[in-house]
Amino acid sequence: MSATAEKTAYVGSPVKRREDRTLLTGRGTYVDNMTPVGTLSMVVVRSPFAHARVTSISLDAARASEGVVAAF
Amino acid sequence: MRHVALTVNGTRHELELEPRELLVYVLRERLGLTGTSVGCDTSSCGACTVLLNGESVKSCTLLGVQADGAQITTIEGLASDGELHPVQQAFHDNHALQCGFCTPGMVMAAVSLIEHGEATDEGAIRMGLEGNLCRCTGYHNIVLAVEQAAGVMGKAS
Repeated sequence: MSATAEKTAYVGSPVKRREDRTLLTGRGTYVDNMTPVGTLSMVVVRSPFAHARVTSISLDAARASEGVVAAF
Repeated sequence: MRHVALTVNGTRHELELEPRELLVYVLRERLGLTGTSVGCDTSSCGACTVLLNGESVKSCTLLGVQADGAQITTIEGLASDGELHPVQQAFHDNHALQCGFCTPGMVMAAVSLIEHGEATDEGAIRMGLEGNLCRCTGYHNIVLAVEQAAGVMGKAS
């Protein structure tokens, strides 16, 4: 390669991003924007007691609630 | 349920909202405007910033019912006729975004800051955008973009 080799179109020069327009106009897609068919929601129920020993958990009422698929 | 009327990006919407619904979820889930991101849900990150009657607000901090009667602008409503708003253009010109997640909030906060005549120098811009977090850019180019946009909008001190 000669010392006078021409600069290529990209190396050494700033390149404008092609994805910016989508992201700048609010049309970017993130996982939080997607709800695939069959998506379930999960809820963690925390203990109402600040200091206690868990001896058993009754899930019957939770499982019987409308729309509940599973409770663990 | 409460009856609420919102004008979002120039379009009037009449909605029946539960009093507990946050404005950001009204925008995202009821109106399908997912351009407004939820970054933290706790008012820390500013990704959900929108304009409410021209003032920047974190839409995860406001209830939908509190916005009754308000004019709201989201990132989707900023460009007009396919032409980017000067702040959007400046973000592109200065490489002020990478993943783009914080960008809608950052842009809306910047628009408000500039329109209030408070984007007068680097220090003022950094302070004005303190409520908006970005994990990609390190802020440097965001500040440059806001300086450029303030100049274009004739609000640079």
